[in-house]
Amino acid sequence: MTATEEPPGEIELLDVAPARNLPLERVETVKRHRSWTATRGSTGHRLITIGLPVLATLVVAGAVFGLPVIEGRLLTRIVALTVILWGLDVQLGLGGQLSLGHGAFAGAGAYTAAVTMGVHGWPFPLALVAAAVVGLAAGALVGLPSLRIQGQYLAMITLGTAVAFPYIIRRFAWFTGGPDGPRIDYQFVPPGWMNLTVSHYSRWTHLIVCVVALIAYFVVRWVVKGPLGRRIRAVADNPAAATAFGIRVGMVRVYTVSLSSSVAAVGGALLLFETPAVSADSFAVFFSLSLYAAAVFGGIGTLVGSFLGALLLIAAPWAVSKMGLKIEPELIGGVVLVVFTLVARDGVVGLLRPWFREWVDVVDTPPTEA
Amino acid sequence: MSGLVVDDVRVAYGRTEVLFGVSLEVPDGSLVCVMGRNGVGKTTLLNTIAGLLKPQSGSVSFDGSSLAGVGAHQRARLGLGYVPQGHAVFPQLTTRENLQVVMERQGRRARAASLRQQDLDEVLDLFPALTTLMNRPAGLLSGGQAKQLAIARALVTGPRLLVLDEPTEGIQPSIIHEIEDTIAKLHAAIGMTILLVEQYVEFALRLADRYAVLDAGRVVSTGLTSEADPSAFAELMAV
Repeated sequence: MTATEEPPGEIELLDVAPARNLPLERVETVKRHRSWTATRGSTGHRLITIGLPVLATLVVAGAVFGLPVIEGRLLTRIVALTVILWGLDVQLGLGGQLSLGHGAFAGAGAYTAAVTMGVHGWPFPLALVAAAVVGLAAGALVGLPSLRIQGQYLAMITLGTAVAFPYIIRRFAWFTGGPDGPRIDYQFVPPGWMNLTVSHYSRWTHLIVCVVALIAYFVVRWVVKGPLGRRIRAVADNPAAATAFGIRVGMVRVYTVSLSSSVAAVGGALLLFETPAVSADSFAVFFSLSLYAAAVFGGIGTLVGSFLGALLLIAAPWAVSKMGLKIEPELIGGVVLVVFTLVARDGVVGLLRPWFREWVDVVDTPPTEA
Repeated sequence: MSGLVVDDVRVAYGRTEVLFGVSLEVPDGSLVCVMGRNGVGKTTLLNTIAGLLKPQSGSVSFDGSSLAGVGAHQRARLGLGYVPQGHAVFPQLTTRENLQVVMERQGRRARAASLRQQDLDEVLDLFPALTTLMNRPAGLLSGGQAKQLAIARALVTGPRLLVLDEPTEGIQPSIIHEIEDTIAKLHAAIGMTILLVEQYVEFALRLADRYAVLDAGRVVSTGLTSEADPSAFAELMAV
């Protein structure tokens, strides 16, 4: 085997592994976990990284048919928020840049979809592309200062964007429709074979949102694993070394914010699919801070954590109200942010990771035969 | 003159001057070692050459062209391969990605994939230990492995000048021998121009053709290593 070939991929049960001549660290792994082992880059590993998201999407998409309409719509909202959080994670987890203004990017996407679909009657795929482009442009604008500044200074700029967003919407009311947005007549009519009554049309919308989310997931994953993702991670890791190797650090930071805001804008547009109305105040600064709290809760730097974070944003207030308790969602978000920052910085995913590895252990090289 | 010429360079961090008119020549095909105690300005000199620091006065030129106004990322593309001090790998990236990310930035994406593979294979032949670690995140590599990756990463860019900042720092003796062999091979077999900063005098003198000793931001001694007396460095290198 030449030096750069991928090792042959395999998933195998390691119950018999101690009989082999394994390096010490691998033997310890086997003793500890008795898990299924996937070699990074192998077919088995690919099956996990591609198959699991597809399976998860099927489960989430199918769940809506077993839920009452209101809870089903909340699930659609969770999926849309997951996409917004993936956007935030590109900047926060991948690029290592704090953002306190992603609510504004999501709002830009939602308003773009509202204007294109609601006012101009564009089909929804085009409206989503428009939202992505507007998000990309808004991110480039906000990210431009990162050519010169970084860290908390850039975070302040994103915070300023979130604060300014509702006022920008009001200022350009002739185009945006104002704080309550334009009137939206767009309706997602399901195909006849689905046999859905009007009151259950939201199930069709849910399926569309799930498919878009799955596409967004693979696009984000593709970028993260590709040349741009490598540059973004290199800059986050060691900007001086990245510069010394010919990477334009400032430009990569601009790309990071642009990509991140574009994904968040698509997520914001998906929110409109669930409720065909927009409000500038719902994308104000508190929404941005809630997104940050959700990202910390789920686990920064993990795409699965984004789903868990979105679940917190929607399910926690729902559960609290179901139990008849009077606890404000803001309080839940605040407590979660403090507690997780103090005791579980890797979020719920970080807490679950050891348990997951009891079942599937990802290693760099396949076990060697005796 | 072809190669690297540093001429009367002065560098300061704010109001604190660190280099006081340093001049140094690294002729094409030579291996020059800069030695000196901690804090005398060795890394500052290399960062200035790499374009990460801007000198207050003086000039750095490479192959006869001044590098004034040439950014660090552009210097890398001109053929200046820098291996910074410490384990300056990208820890989130795997070994393979560490190599890929710099190859992509050197404009090699346009080249045929086979050629890139050939470059990679040639470099990995020098560091066989890395071949089994290609999918491991670089943050999980040992100190010696990370240092080998850092050198390999500079080499895959096809540099015309390799700049190494203390490659033996914190590395176990067996790996130091491997690194020494690799540097010697690069210099002798390929004729690569190398600028080495090192505190391990014997290591430096075994490898280099010429040396320069820095003290308190000034070059206090230069010469051919073949004529150098290692014991004479004791005082200059003492902390």
